[in-house]
Amino acid sequence: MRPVATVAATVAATVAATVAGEGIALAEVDRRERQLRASALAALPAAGSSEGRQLRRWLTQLLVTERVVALEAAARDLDQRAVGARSVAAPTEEELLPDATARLELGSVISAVLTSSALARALFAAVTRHVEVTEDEVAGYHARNPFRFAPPDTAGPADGAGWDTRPSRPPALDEVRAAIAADLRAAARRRAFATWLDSRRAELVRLAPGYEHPGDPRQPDNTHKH
Amino acid sequence: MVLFGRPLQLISAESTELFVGRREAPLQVVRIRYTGGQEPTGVRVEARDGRDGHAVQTPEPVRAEPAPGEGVLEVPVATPGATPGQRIPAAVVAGRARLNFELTVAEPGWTMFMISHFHYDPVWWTTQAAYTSSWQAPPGPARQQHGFDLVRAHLEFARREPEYKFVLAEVDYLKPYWDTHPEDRVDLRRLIHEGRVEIMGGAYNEPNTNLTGPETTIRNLVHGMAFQRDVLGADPATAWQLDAFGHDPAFPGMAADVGLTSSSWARGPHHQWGPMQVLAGVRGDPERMQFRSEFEWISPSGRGLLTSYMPGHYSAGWWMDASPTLSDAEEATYQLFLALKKVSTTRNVLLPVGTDYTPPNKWVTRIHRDWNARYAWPRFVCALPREFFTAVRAELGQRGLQPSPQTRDMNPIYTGKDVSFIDTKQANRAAEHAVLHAERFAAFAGVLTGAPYPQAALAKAWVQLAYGAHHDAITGSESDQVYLDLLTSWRDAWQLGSTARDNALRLLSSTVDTSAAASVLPGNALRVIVWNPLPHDRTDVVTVRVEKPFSEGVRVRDTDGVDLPAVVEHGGRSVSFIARDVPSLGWREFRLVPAFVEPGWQEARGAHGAHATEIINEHYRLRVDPSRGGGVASLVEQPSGRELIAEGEIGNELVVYDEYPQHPHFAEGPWHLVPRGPVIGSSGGPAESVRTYRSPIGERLVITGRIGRQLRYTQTITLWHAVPRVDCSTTIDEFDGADRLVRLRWPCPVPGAMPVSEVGDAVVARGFGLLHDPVTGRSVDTAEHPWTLDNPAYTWFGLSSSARIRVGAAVRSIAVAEVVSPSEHACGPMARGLLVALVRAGVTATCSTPDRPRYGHLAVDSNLPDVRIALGGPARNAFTAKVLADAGSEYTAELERQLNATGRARMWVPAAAPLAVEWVPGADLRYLRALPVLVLAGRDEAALGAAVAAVIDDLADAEVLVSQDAPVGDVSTAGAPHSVVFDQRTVALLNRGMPGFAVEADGTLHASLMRSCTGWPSGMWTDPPRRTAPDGSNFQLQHWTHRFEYALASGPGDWRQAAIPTRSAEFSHPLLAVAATGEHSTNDGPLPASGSLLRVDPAGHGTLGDVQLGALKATGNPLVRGSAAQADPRASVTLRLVEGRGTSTTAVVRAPLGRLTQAARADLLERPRQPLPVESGRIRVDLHGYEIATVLVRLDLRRVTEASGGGAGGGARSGAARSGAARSGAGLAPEAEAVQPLYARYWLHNRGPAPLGGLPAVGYLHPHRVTAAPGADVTLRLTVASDRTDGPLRGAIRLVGPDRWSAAPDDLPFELPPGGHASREVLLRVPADAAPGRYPVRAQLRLDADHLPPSWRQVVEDVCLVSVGTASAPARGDMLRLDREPDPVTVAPGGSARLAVTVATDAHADLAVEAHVISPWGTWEWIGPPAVGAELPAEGKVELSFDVAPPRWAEPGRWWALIRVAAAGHLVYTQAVPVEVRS
Repeated sequence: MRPVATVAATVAATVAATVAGEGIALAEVDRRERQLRASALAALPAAGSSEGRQLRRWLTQLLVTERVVALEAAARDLDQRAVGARSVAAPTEEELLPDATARLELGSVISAVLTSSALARALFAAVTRHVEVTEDEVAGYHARNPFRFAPPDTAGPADGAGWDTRPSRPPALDEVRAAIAADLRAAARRRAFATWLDSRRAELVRLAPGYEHPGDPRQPDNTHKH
Repeated sequence: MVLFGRPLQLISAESTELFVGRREAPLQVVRIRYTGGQEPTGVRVEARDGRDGHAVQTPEPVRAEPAPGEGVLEVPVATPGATPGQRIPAAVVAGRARLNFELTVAEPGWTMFMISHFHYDPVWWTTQAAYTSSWQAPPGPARQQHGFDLVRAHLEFARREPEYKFVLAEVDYLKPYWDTHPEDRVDLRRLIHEGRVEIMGGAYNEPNTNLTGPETTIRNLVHGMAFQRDVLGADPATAWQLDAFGHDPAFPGMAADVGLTSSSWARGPHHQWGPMQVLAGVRGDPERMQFRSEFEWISPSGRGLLTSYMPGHYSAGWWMDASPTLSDAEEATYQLFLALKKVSTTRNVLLPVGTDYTPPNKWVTRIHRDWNARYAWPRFVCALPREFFTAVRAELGQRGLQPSPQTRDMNPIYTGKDVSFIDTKQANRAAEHAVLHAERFAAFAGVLTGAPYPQAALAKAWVQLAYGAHHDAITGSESDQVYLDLLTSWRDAWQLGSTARDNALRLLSSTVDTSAAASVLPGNALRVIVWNPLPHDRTDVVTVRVEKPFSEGVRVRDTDGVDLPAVVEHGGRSVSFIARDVPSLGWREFRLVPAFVEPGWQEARGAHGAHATEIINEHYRLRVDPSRGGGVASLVEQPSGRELIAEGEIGNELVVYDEYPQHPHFAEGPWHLVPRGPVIGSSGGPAESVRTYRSPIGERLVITGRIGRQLRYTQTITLWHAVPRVDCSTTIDEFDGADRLVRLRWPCPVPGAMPVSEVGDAVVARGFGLLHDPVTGRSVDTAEHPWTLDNPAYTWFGLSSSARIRVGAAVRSIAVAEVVSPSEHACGPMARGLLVALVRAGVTATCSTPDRPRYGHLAVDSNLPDVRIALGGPARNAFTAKVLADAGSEYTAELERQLNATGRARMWVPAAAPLAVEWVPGADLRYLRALPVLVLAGRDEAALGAAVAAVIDDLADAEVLVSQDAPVGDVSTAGAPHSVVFDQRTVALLNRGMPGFAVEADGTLHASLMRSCTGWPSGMWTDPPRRTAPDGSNFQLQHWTHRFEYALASGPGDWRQAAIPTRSAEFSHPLLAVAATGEHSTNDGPLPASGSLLRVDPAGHGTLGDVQLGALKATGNPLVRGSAAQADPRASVTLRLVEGRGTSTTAVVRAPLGRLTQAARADLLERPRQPLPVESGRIRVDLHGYEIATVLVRLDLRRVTEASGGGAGGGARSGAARSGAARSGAGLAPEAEAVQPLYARYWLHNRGPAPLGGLPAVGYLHPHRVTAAPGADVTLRLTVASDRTDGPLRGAIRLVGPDRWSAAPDDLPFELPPGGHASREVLLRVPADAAPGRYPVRAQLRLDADHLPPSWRQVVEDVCLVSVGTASAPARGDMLRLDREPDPVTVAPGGSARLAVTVATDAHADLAVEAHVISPWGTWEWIGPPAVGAELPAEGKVELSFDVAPPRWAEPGRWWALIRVAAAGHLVYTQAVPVEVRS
């Protein structure tokens, strides 16, 4: 086992977390909180309140995730500048996060990092490149959800207004194979990336008291509000 | 690498609950930890002595690979012939290594059902709009999302993962999702059909049933079942009340009576998060529970429901979502299994996987696949609750077991809920009563006159009440903005109910014949019809209000020409008198005759010109002490002559408690009461004024004073002649502080009595409150003692004896019991009947067993018992044996003596100390002799059964007799010394919407009035700018005038003999007076001058029993189940008859104006069950204790028909033709919303449930908001969906765009089959020269009106907002903007003012706007109308105004008002301006 960095109580006053032994300074959390508060459209919880501390925990998650992404990208020779110069292809936000369901699957922290960082999206592509779906999975999905990707039948304006009607028979697998495969592949890649990143974070990140994961039921502000 | 060279060393061996192999012949897993090893080594487990190779063996040794660190190995073991729990000496053998350990034989066959869910609050700290579809969760702490995204995410996951199953519940998001995503209907229905989606609840939402009226709970179920079952096509079976803050005791019976078969929830028997809550870093042990997690939850009616309590809370299984690996997640899940299985009833464990607003758990399907591939048992499966309950029932059946019966009071939970935002509880109560009255009078108006029953308005009113009953609404735990929004919902219900009630009463009054009385009355007399909404004859005070003064002086004359005493106030606009003998659900006519009299209130002076301080009627003599805040120093009950106020104490006192800003441990807000010690009361100083008034109809005290700088109060106490109540009101002004709680105190000790409270359709006893340190008088400090045993009551609470044990001459009241059954198997068969008999006598009980913990540890249990009942003698029941061993030989001898004499025994073993000694803050009553024990024993099982049955019989009169030679001990309950130990009397406090109460052991009744709470989410606001009360405070602080109405009633006997329910009902449901207008004053309608519409016997003050009329309405609820039928009271009415004393009785129901015919008993959904015989036009309904019986009956009111002369079309119809309502063409209540057209995305306007009519068809444009460049084509998808269930819907959608825009097509006729839907693309063409800006495009749906209910003919519109712009000229502008705020209002009673807002828009097309005036309870009668609409012209502005017109009789005070304006999903709230009524 690799030796793990623990955040001693003495340094907890200045560091919110460590990533591979390197500290994330509280000043960094402060800075991100100031930025967020300056830009936020929606009401944010009051500083110092339980919800306010939860917000700082969330920002800490964002910071450590960014740091983990940077470390892992470097380990793969993914270069920030190369991504910026598009010499390394990074998927777009639209491709990786097409809808709210995708964001929910990934969680708010990973979604936020993927939204803001092309490097993270390049890492996503690199980590999940080999994730594919099998023909059986595609066929199984089609058998279970025969109408899911069926194109609407626009043939007859029988009622005079040209309403689309549901096709009376499910489309053949060939007609929808590509759509199903794309849907399943994207979901599988999201899942693979999130799982991988979770395990990397578990290994690399140590959180200081007061900066635990916001969803960690053991920390005091997660007394679920009722 | 050196480590590899070490020989294998065994570190530990541990039995698990895991099995591998075949399910039918599984092998138990032993977990071995080891290290080292030079090469793979076979590992096996064998018997320790090696002799009995068959008892423990590993069929195939498992290979241990060399492990440099610690290796873990799972070794399968067969244990043939062993029984689960058996411990077998065993050894692990690995090469030459050997480790002895004790193998604990596990039980195969366990299944953990992982139920994927998300808990959903439709409103809480953010708004309905946000939670339904617009909440942008990030940046936020958790994986949380709004309802639409959640349903979508779970549905997509289920499509992808064949193992995934999940549940959906609340109609609050189901209806909007069902209608906006009609393309998902097919898959949702399919998944429901395939058993992969279960629709939970059978309820509209998760209501706090302990804070609303019982009928509100029933209608919540009616609305929930109708949508879930009829519209959605689901089959809800489980009441899913995850988060409700405690439950009304009657809830399980009600749920059973709508056809639900089970329930599951997380709060009730234990505080907060339940027995497994982590406190101070330590996880609680579920085995602190006295009963297992699956039990039969039984209501006071005796009806029960198989229930699964969630000991680890509804979020128990969610947290493994954060595990970084599958094996970590599996281990976390396994640990939960180990904890939960300890308390499960069968080998089935329910694990809720989800918490607030959570998407699918990322591990749950992977656990399902991986775990069950690895292990034969326990199975961890993705499942639905119905699978779990089926498995529980199957196992119970196989083993011949009954679930343990529990009537335990699942309260109190979160005591702050009873008082936070108190005004909403008052409003809710008033609205409930208005709607209940509207239903009964509208039904009779329909039968007698043919007036159409206002089903749409009433359905809307009820669904608003159901919406408001949510556990983050009526509980006061919502944010400030949500509070304001909710006020519009309660106001809507109140307004619809009041309107229908008033119109029905006016119509009915207009049919009262006046010709008979006319001869004895002058022609200028004003007719007044006084209506009694209760089903028994009564005498009470009534006040007639007239807008235009009738005369300065008035006499009230009855129809015999006898003048009655009266009080005229407010310049002739208010006339009060005592209306005697107003018939059951009937009326009596009176006349107001001009006269030169001055019968107002006259101020009285005492001796030497001092203020008199005493008032008197036939029932009470009451005196206040001006030097002690004007509190009540003496209250003497006449004619008993008994003083009710404790010596030296003061009644009607207001007391202010300092509170923490938030809970000192849980850091939470308004749902906790958080007193911190200091207390200050109104008796601490003199009153500012005390005035006494006398009048011909009663006497009154008016007291004013202050409590320091904390508040100013005005109290009135009135004794009306002939009315057996002390009627009181307290008005609180200038309550300007923060974190303070106000209680009202009446120290009225009754020796030996216990607290008793009305709950939904029943009365139960409750334990004493633990509010104060009895020595210092300070409040307990929440940091030290969080649990004070405040409780919610329905309309009254008091001191009485609900049930008694009489031991020789001694009498002990009992309130809450622990029934200790000899074993778990015996609980059901032996104890169920006893538990039902006890709860019908008001004693809730927990059925426990000797080997489990005792009930009564306040750190764990949400309430405490005061008596134990042991079933079985010492040989049968280990608990009895211990009690007897401790109590001394005289009790063992007594038991033997009784058994020898009769074969049975009934013996009282006193507690070690009086109750008050044990019953203290932080009480722990678990030790053996903390409470008295009633031992029931028998020589054999049959005799024991007979001993229990005899007590059940005895409980019919709520009293158990014990005759014994052994000492009785000290049976006192209260701490205060009394000359007598037990006094059979009752004192009760009746309330109008203040449910919170506690009665302390010294006999002081406390009612919680209000509080100013700053704890989160007090002050939270979602849509900026944040609004506050006019002084800048959070609305949760309640800084405005509040008026509380309550009454005190007392009498000899227990609460039944003192007829407290009847007296409380009379206080809650005042007589209603209708002043006939000139137009109808000479009406010659068919009704006599006095009469009764319906009689129920026994009811009211009689000694034979008390059957209450829970509701009377037109039969059926067609609109809520998507049916176009019209509920018609002429075809059938529904009666809800409620037995009100816990005893069996037979109710006789008749309609004095005619006959009842075609009667049937029905369930709560009004589905007929079996016919009821009708004899002589009346029906007899047998009721058991607290039964809620629904009866369908036809009202054949022949007398009216005959009286009207039998003209063509029948008398009832001709009556209608003459009625004002029918003539004017208006119905009894609106058939349409005040603002038209309806907005399809109603939830975005934070206005509660779907609009009046229920939105049976609706079209939506997708997406809801788009951007486009000038000259572009925009493709939108238009969907249309029907929720009608009993026929097709035809109509058309018309697209209305901005000027010069084109939409193709723009007129789309449709026809949809039941539940059908359609969609198509429409093309918008943006003109090339369109200026940058906002362009609303409206899709207006109109149904072809043939044969449809009027409420379905409203136009419904969705609006797509197109933002037109380019990179260089982006779209700008406000959709909705405040142009002019309203001005502050100061107005005198009788005056009027305007409250107006001007809103503007930058939109380039007209918009429909709706504006709601929001003002607190207390102002609704004179600020209105509640909502107005307008068309806001493109780039224009519009003013929306409301009237502020307090009538002459309005009391002065300071309130506030603001206006919420909404258009196309955009909202603005004006400032809250002060509204002052200044006399």
